[in-house]
Amino acid sequence: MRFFETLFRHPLVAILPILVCLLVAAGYQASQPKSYTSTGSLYIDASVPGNSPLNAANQYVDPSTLQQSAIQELLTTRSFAIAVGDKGPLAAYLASHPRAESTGLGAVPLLSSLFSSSKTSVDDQVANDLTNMVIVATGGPQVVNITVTAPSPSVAAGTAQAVIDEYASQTTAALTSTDRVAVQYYDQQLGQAEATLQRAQQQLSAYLAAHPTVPSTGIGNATATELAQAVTLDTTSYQSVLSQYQSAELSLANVGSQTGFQVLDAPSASATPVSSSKKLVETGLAGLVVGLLVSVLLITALTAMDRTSRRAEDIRRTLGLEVAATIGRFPPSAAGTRRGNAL
Amino acid sequence: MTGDVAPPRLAPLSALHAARSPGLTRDKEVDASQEARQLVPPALLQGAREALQRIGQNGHGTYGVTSTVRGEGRTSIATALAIVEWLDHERRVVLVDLDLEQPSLHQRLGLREGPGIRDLVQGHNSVEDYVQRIVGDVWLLSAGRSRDDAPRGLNRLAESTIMSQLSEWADVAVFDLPPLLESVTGADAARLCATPILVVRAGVAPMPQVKEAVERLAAPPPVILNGVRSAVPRWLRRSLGDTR
Repeated sequence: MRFFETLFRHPLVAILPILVCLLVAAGYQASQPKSYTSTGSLYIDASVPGNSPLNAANQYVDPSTLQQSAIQELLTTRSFAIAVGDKGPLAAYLASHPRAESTGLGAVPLLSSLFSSSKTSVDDQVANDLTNMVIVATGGPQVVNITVTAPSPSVAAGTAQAVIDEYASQTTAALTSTDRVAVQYYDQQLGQAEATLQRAQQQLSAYLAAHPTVPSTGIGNATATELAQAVTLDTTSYQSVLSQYQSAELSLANVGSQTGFQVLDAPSASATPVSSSKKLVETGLAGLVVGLLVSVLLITALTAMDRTSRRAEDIRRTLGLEVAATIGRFPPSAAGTRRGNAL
Repeated sequence: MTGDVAPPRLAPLSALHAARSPGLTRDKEVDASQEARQLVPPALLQGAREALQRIGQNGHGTYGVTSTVRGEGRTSIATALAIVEWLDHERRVVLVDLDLEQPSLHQRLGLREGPGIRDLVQGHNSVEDYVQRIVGDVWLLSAGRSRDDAPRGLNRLAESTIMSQLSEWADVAVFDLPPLLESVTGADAARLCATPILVVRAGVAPMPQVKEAVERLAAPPPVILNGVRSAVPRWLRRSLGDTR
């Protein structure tokens, strides 16, 4: 109750912080540069082994969700962000517009010198800003949308394309590395199988030369039969390894086409800036909440600081005294009117 | 803290005094009664009436109205108590300004500064010669013109026969006392009265100060809480469970 008494006794203390915060929020929003968005859509091919839910720890996760997570993870890495900045127009744009990246309080003209750090390199700016600029969302089980918000249409479209390209590049690099290891492994295995087969063939040939009466199939001779079977077995083994080697080589050769996604909609530059009304409402709400918090804190502080008695209960509770009467406040004009003699 | 305290206004009395004679006819008594009701706001009279009922003294009594600091409404409430005693019980009441450091009662009532207590304690005069009529049978004994230091004046008062003269001459004596914490004579002056009443104005004196003031009195006094007004709308108070 004392809180409400303070609140209604000092309405300005309650209202002013809210008004100030709303004005600051509106000023902040007005000082923000226009922004443009560009969206690219990827179709995720579920038949590619890496995208199959069967390979995922959680088999109920959509292929698009897997890819979305992968892109979001990569966006948080500095090397990926810098590569995107360099591939697209973002790094060049930031280099030519030193304050363009300023967001938050740094975007307010008078506060920019306080909040913007001139020593930050373009790479740092790209690494810091890219995460906030890019939104990766699934559009369905097999569609991932990459939306980039940037200060100009071309930067938005170029950066979105750069994100897609760099992601494809990273995926290709990872697949290439895996396939190279596989080729090397099967190459080694193939060599060993070939040597084993040659040894078996040499042993069979030597035995047949020493025993001309024995037919080449080894029928009727136990040793020749055993050597012939060894040759057959080693041949099968060799062919199997050869097949795997060829498969790995093929995979390495075609790695570029096995990224697991296709670009459905390439990012395009939109000349229409993003509507600021939604941001204005969001910023206004944030200002309102902050203002309310400040008001509540101020009123609470005022209430705590007010140690005077306001009600009969205060006297009874704090001092244990009997309150014989309570007299309300009355206007000075409530008394006689014939003379303004103050009592 | 006391800057926002706006004292109520009194009706004019100077013209009334000039024409008034010691004896009152019935018609004049009715006029005086109406005049008395106009002197003090009804809310103040009602509060004084309520306080007197609670305090529950019959007949002769001496009330001392004090407060923690200045600006809490001592003088207004002392005047209201005096008027209620006369209006409701037809008692002869003398209102005594014992705030010898900063006397103001005579100014507020539009009466002469003196002679009063300071002059009275210096000789062997009768109280009756020093009182001024406020209205009806309500009389003022002002602090007086003399500028002796207040503690000495109070000591002389305590040693004199003035208090007993007041008891004999009037049915009820209401003392407008100095504040307990802002006057060196506050506590001593309160001890001269049978029933000290503490006026606490809402939002003026911090509770620790009020507590300190109470500790200076011989016994816990009844309290009149003055200037109470809730800024919270009535509907909100009701919804918060405050039914007053």
